[in-house]
Amino acid sequence: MIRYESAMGYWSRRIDWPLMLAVGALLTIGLVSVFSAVSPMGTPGRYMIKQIVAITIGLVGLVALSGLNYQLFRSHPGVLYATTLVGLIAVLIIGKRIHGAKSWIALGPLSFEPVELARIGFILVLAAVLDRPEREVVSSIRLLILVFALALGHMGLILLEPYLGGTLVYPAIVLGMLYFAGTRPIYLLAIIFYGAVAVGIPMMSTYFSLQPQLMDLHPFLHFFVASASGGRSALELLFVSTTIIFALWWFVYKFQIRIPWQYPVFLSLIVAFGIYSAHLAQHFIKDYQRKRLVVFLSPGFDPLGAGYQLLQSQIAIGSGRFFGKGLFSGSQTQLGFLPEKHTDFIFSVIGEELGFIWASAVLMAFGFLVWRAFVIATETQDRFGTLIAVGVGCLFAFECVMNIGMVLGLLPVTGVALPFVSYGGSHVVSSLLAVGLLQSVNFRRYIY
Amino acid sequence: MAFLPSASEQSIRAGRARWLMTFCACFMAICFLRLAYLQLIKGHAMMQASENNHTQVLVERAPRGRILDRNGDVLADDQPVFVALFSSLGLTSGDYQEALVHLATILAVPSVELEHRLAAAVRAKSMLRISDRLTRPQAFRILQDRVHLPGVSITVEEQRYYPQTTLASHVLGYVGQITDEELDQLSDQGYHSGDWIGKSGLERLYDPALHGQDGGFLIEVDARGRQVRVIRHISPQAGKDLVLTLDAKLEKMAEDRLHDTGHPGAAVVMNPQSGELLALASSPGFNPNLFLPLGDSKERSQLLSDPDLPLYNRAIQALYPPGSVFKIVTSMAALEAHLLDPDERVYCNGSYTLGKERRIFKCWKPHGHGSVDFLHAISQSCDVYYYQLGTKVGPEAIEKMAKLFGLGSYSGVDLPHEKKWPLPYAWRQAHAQHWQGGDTLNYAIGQGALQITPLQAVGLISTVANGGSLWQPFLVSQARHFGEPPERLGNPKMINHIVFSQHSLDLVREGLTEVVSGGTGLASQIPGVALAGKTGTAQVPKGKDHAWFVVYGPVEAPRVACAVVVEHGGHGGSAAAPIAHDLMALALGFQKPDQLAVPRGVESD
Repeated sequence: MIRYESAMGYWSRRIDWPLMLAVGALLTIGLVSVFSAVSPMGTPGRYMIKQIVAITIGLVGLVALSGLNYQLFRSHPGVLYATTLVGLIAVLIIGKRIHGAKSWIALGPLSFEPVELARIGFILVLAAVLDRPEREVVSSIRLLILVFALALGHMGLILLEPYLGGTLVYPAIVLGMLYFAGTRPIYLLAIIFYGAVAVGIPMMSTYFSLQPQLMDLHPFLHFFVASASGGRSALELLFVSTTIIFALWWFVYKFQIRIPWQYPVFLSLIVAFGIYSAHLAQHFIKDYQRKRLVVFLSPGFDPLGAGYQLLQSQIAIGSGRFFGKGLFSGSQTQLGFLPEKHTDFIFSVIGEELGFIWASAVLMAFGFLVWRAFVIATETQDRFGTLIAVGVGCLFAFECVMNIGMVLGLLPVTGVALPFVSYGGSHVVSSLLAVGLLQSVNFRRYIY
Repeated sequence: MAFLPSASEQSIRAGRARWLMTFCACFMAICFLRLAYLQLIKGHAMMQASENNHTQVLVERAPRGRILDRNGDVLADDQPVFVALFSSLGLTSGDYQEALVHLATILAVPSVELEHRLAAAVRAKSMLRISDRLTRPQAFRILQDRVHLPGVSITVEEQRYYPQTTLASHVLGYVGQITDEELDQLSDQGYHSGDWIGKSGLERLYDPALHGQDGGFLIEVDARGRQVRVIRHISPQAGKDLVLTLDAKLEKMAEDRLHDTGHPGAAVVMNPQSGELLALASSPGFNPNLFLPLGDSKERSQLLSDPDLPLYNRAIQALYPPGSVFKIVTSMAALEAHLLDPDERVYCNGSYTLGKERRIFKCWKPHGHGSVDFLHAISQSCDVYYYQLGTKVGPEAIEKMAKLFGLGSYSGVDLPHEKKWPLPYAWRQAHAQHWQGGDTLNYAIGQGALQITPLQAVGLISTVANGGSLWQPFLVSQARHFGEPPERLGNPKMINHIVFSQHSLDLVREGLTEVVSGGTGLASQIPGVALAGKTGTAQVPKGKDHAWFVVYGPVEAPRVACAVVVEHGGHGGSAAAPIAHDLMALALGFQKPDQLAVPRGVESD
């Protein structure tokens, strides 16, 4: 006998409930702590209504997306990518400038950030591009170039807003999805190494230039700092590092460990490009921005400036101890010592007012969320769906670590929000849409 | 369209997922550890940091405990003073620029200095105590111009005040602003920067009891420094009142009499049966009020540069050769060693010749005392008698007796900075220095080798008076706090009890009684009361000798012991004994000691 069940019953049977539960828990903690954080502000009610409306829109989108066949996005990746570009360009033209960045497009009473939707679109586009037999992916340089061109298109437009924090997630998504798609790990390592050189040199030199007494102790550091801004010392640095690479290669060769000559050559080329990019980055990122990025290494350098947020955030979290100071009673939160408390630093509010129990629960909920995403990625038969799940997993993992690491003083202040928890409509909606995609993949994991 | 994965592809995919998951989990684990570190390990420190962040303390100083004499006479008191406070809350630098100049003229300080201090307070968004002691006119001018002086307010606080000015100044000591070093050591005991703290005397030693517990307002401020609310107000807890064993009248008489001599000196009066100090005077004295903010700075600097060192407590810090006072020790040593026959006579022709070198040691009386027995020798203080006695007894026995009497060690009085002189024989032994026969002779008559403080001298005569008990002298008997039972601080404490034979004690006491009734100490005689004393004249390299007199009485039941020293006063019998007379008479209950019939002082040793 054939039993018919309602559409709702069907949906609820196929959905990944543990995942939904984790998201629901994060949304609840988020709402409660945002309410506490905005309560000392003039109109806490408005913030709450906005956030609840955004969550509702996001949940509707989630349900709709989970019911929608995600294969729809497979057919025309070019169109999809073009749409995201239009959004990113539109914001540069008609966007509202808030806090010095043109990130918002106003649509009547609502305004949203195209960046947030663009990154979901980017995951779909990338999944479509990488959805080809693995042998075509493994060592295809052409594919790598295509992927990075797509990513740089987005990142460049986002940097023009300028919104540095919004670009950071792209390398994480790209590297995660490429690895899963089967690109040779050595390529990925080379890319990471290149990135480390390009970003590391300006950051390190900024860090050292903040400590004149240390520089005087070690004259080498002067040379290092000078090399970040290009010129002769950059060439000298390149020469020295290339010499070291070849000397090591030769040394290892003497010990009967034969490494093909292409490797050291390639490595030196990466260093050369890295140093060149470092030079560009040094010019492109403004001085105060670089300072903001390195001050987390020792907030004491600038306790009233760039280090202030970090110190206050750590004091807030630490002073919460095991059980927290109680909702609405965190002195750091309620008396305005914590900047950006309801958005980027919402985790400090949780740490201060709800204590270690709830803060660690939030961290574990994210761990669970990411784990579910990867489980879905493994269980799904369809390669496109798998890649979407991996992209979404990397997105959440990156945002969670980047935000909590920043709040805890482990990572630079970059302005990455905590998904589901931070105040901010577009971010909540896009995060919920990402979960919707995940559910849509999960829904059809045995179909494709 | 889809590429269905083979089984092996499926397992490759699972492996990659596991790698990625592990990678993410590592970062999350680091975040977790950091979270645990901040909240669980550093939690307490962070809690304090957040407390400091949002709270500000406005200190309200506790009134300092008073110091009273044994009859309740107030020696150190508190008086209300005006304190000017500056609060930067809600002010910008423009607001107070004008006020600054105005304030500087009222307070008569350079406006640059004031600006420097105020700017620091504005930056730190904190409260500042501009001045701790405003004069009445200054306070009223500030109150009148309140409108033009934003942020400045006046409060009334209790501050130290010594109503009897110089009386017992060395015992009381004085208070001053806490230094950075003191703050480093004491900040965990509730002291704050800007506190007043005892710098010398009892003020210093008993500061924890006198200081009390500061109170104040704990104010919550927000990140911009605006006051949000008063979290709580802690009332200051007044310090404890100290009740001394001193008798203010006796102390006053001691200080006046010493002052009248025109020489520096010291006098100590003690109860020989317990160690209670009834008077501890050092002259010249000083006015401790000068060290308070309203004190005259010119007078203060004069005080500090005075060659007579008025800040120096001679009663416990000055070391003088005991002179003939030491003959009490030599006598006891000889008697206890059974080397002295009181009836044996020695002929004094005015000098004594020692050893092969035939070194001459003179008696203080140029032509000698003639034939003297023990009683005669002690009452006339014959040096020649004691030269031969010293030679017979030897330095070890003398020194052993001196040690039993507490010489060479701290008396343990409850005052800071007490001084002592090492026992000379043992010291020379320990430092491999030669001890000659002549040193023994000088030791026996108390010249040269050993030096003692007036407090040690009163301990010595008290031990004879009470029959061998060495009591630890003390000044503070109780601490009182309003509404609480008094707390006993000083109790009689016996340091040492020497078992003398009754025979030796009787003989020495008889000799000392003879000193007053018919010997060198005639000037201390009080009609109707038998006293026992000993004069001393300590030779000094330059100027007149130091005059000593130690005495106790009444002989039958000693209640009072006294030691007086007058620097460069000349003979003990003429310079020190009259002072001791007045002190003994007052202490023994004669209301007008100076009107008692007194024999004239004797110009003798």
